[in-house]
Amino acid sequence: MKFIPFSRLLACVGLAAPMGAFAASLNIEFEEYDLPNGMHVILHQNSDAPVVSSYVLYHVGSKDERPDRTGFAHFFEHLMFEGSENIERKQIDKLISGAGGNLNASTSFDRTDYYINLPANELELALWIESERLMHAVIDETGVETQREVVKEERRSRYDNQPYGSIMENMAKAVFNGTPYEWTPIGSAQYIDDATIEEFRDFYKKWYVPNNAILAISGDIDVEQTQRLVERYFGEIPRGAEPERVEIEWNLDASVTTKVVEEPMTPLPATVHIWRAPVLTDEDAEAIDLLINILAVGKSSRLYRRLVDTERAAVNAAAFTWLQEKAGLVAAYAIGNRGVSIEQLDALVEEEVQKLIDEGVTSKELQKALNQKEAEIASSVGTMSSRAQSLAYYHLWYGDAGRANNELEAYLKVTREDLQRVAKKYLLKERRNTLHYPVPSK
Amino acid sequence: MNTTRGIRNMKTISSIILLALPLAFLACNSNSGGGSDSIAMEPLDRSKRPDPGPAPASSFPDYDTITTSEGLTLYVIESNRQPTITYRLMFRSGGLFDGEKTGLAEFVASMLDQGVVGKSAFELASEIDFIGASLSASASSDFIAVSVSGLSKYKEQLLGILNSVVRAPTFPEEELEKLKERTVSNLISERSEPDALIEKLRRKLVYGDGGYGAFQSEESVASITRDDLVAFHRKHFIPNNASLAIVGKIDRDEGVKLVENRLRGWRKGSIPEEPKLDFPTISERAVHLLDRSDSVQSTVRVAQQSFPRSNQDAPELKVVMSVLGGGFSGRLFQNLREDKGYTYGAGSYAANAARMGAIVSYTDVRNEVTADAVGEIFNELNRIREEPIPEAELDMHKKYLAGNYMLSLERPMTIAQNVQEIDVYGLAPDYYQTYVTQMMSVTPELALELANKYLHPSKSVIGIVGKREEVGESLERFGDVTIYDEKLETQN
Repeated sequence: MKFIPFSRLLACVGLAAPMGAFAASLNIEFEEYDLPNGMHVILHQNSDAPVVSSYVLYHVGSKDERPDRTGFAHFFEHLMFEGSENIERKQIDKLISGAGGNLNASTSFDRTDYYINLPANELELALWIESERLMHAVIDETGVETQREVVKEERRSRYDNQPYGSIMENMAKAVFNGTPYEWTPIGSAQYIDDATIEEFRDFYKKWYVPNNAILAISGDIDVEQTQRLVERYFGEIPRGAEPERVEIEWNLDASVTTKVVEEPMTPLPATVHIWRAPVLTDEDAEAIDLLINILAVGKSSRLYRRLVDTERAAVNAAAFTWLQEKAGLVAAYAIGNRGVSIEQLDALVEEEVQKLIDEGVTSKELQKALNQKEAEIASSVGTMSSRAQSLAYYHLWYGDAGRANNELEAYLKVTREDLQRVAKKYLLKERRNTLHYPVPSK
Repeated sequence: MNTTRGIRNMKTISSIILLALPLAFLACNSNSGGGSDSIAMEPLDRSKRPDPGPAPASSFPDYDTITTSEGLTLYVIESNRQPTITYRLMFRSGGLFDGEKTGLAEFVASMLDQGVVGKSAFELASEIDFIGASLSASASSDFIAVSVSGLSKYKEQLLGILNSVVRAPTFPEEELEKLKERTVSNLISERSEPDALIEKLRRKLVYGDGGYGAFQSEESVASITRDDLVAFHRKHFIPNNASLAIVGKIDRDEGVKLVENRLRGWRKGSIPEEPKLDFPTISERAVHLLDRSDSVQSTVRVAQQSFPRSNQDAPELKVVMSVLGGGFSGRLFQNLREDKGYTYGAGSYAANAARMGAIVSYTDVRNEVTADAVGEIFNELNRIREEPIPEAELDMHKKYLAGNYMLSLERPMTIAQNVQEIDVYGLAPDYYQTYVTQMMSVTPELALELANKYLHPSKSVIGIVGKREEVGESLERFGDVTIYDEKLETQN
């Protein structure tokens, strides 16, 4: 939603996942079931405020695209606002505005999601719009032509016109090489231009089927009545063929690269270290996550302490993960103060990572990371929208929406030995890819 | 990683408080009864927008206001949604009090956690991180906000942290030197970021070189000393110049008790006198182009001076601004993006400020359509002054604002922010009680009157960060073109 300069963008790209889940002390009650056409429905009732959030998630993202049609999933997200057989072109935004609500959508490597927030008495409007665009969205030249231009501008705004703007693409290319994760959701404008209208319609037919969708609704609803309404709006939509997905071979063994990215706009020297990591649902995922906290979350974290505070080498240093459905990466980066060499940044990051491998972490650090995780989870349950997203997220990736209520438990099982073990397994120097952003000499 | 369809979320808008009326304005037809019991009977007619059900009664959380004996205004906003607590302290002093040393208030805010009595910066950071808490402190022109959040089981300790950073910072010399280095690095970084550059340019053009228009430089950073920090802190960090909002799992009595214990002995001071401000006179339209030779897009602002935040017409003007450029349904978004395909985002907003606000239209467009986009912004500014807004369009925006205001109340932090805005900007105490009614009262006639009273395209500046070689000439049709470099120094 926001435009984020890249130095800051890096810090938050790890959140392909919606904000964590809920602390053990909270109990988000929900009901879930499948419609006969395969759509999964999750309902959470809460009457604290007269609002309702509808969240529809399609299990399709940029990794499901053809290599010569990158950017399709995201482009399609834009087309889904154009209109349907019963909703005139350009009316979806206005219908929601006029009902006092708001809406948006996003596309990641693995999924595309659409949300609508409304006063609770307008629930049916959301169901109408979402069922219309699943059932018979209108995909025509007018919409495609306009959105082609809009998406090109989106790419320029977010990436091409920003310092460090190529960083995500370069990271993906380095680490996910040889898999469909090697391109990012924004994709290539060229391929969107090349595509015919038939190809967009085929994409829609393949992926936008009820058996590839989750509908989560949370807020001030009557559960039984909502069940009837969901059946009324979505029940008649026929099940589609199960979308065929590409197989992805993913393991840690891969050749590594160092790339120097010379860009005229780079203001300060930056280095990024990137390693292959396991998939989101791997048993090591929580340990890696905690390791990242110890390395980089807060001013007492190791990277901040060493690079920013003690050595005064960096203006910012951090680390993050992108753990995806079928691939993953972990990255650490530093943006140097004026005049600091990239080699010095590299050496400092390398030393801090090597210490994790050689010496592990203290029990106090592990406890700190767990406390941080507990607080993060606790502060992510504030809105109905975040609850709907979280329930859908855990259902899709873990087959267990209820994990939203006990996510912390998986972290509490992690030991100090686990942390050192995953550091050794994933963060070895010989497995590291490196990206350098030098400051151009003027 | 997400790539979204959205537009930029330019400005949190004030909202709230105890809206007494039921939200009947949200319903298109509140008596039609919507779907519920009739569902099973009628077949679904997909060609029609479903009727809304009866409008919900509003259920806004109550909050308590207490003034302590030290003169601190305390707001307790109880919410049990999540097991967390936030303390947010706001001082009614900010960058406007910098004097000659631009950035002083920001430096004070950034140095608060860099050492307190009995603890080094690292010891304090370790304590904060260990309980998973977060601390933020920032200064804007009008205020300084310091907030601490964490799990409610640590509520005593969290308030203790807030108390020590606000009342007992030590401002160590060494940490100040480090902060200066980082600040200079950030200045360099900002000179390559189009959004940072355009914001500085926009402020400079609307407000001149001092006050709201001032920004930091290597020289101003170098000039700041520890003594400056100590003096600023002593003068402005006084309880009778502040409000504290507590949001989370806590009730009034407990909140009051906690504050009385933890903040005991915080001494009143005399309220600092407001600095005098001079604003430039903008008499005609002109173009100000910051030459960024590698830009592949032009970052555009059309801006003018406007009224102080406390102006009584603010809620009504909000409706006019929403028609012009609010959200996906605003005219600028519809025109520049959905009709022309010039941009990913476009809109307009009223930038709040205690002494003088601004009205700003914004977009980022590819180089070759820069002048056309500026032309369209002026077309929309003129149209809204010349033609009455059609009823249906106006009605949509009123409902959009009122409904989203209600939705925003879902977040207890929004309530805190809005209550504290009353305090910082000197709004009427019942501002949020009448807010929705005022917005809903706007007729096409009133909208036209307000548009003419407050929107002044002929006294607007056009600020652009972009590639001079490709866009410079085409902009001459809008007025004289002044060229700036990335330090905002004029080049011609």
